[in-house]
Amino acid sequence: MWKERYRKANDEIPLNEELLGALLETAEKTQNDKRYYVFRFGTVAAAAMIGISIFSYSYFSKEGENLSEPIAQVAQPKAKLVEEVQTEPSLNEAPETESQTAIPQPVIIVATEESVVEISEPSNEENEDLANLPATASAVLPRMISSEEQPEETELPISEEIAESDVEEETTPPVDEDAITDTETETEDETVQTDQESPTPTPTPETELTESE
Amino acid sequence: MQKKTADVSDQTVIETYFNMVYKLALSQTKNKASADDVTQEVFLRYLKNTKHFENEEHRKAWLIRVTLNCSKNVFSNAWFQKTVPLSEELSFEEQETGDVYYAVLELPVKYRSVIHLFYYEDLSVEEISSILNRPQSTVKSQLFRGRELLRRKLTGGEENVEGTVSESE
Repeated sequence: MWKERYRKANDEIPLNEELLGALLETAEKTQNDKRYYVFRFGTVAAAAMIGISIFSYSYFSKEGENLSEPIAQVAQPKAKLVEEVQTEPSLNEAPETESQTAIPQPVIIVATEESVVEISEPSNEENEDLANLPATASAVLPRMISSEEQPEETELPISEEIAESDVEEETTPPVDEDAITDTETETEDETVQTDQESPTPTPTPETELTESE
Repeated sequence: MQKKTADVSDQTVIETYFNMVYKLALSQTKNKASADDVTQEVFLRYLKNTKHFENEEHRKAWLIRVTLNCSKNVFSNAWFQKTVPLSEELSFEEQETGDVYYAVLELPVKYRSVIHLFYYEDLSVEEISSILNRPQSTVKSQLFRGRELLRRKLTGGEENVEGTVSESE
């Protein structure tokens, strides 16, 4: 019985309607504020995303344009450097290999020709003589000189010696026949001596072809 | 920010549990003004709360626990300790009904809360033990002792009060 009476007594206690109404209004305000905050946060977030996307698009588009130019500018000096690296060793290393190796090689011949010309700087007459020589002789001539390690000897091409010997033979003054015979033997001896002094034999067209080949 | 289930709004929760909170606060504080203050504080905490409730039982248990804690804070207030509860403000249709209610209010706080939750809110011993964070055996003993005290008050220590521990369990 007392249990039912206690329940009935609690049910008879009046509620504070004003307090209930105030709490309901507060709950409604808080809910509206939450919706407003959510809407405001959503709008701010959307605006921020749009701004970031526009900025990133413009920034990366500009950056892409800027990046394409320096790459081209940097690529050109690199290409130049590569060309220099490829050309310099051929010019610098060629004389060294030529002086060290006595074995004739066709690739080295071209380089030695230039080096010999640069170092000796022969006169115009010598150049003309070189030009008058056949192509095979002009091609083989520096190679034969380069076989010797002393560049001073190479300053005087052997073709010139040959020409001088020819000139001497032609310009030798006429003497007695005995003397002529002597001179001829002397010239033959001289030529033999020159062959012995120079380790490389005097070039002949036949040997040049065989060696060049 | 999901402190509630999606179906229930704040207004619905206030309308549903306002009576429960207010009656529990009044049984604890024995004062209408203090009960109003406690009720307001409880629902303001609920509106500010960001906790997610799994179901209605969870929400109800949370409100009961907060109401009891806020009532304890009222008891600890110095101003409340110097005031005298105005019990005569409450008026009941029947004198016997009023006698039972005032007899419950005269019980100690630990028995009063258990009696109110068990006999008015129809909560089980297990639910009360989980809400009050007390063992079930403690809740059972408090129910027994509270009924004994209530019986003595209502019968003057002579008559037996209906609703023994065996019946209530």
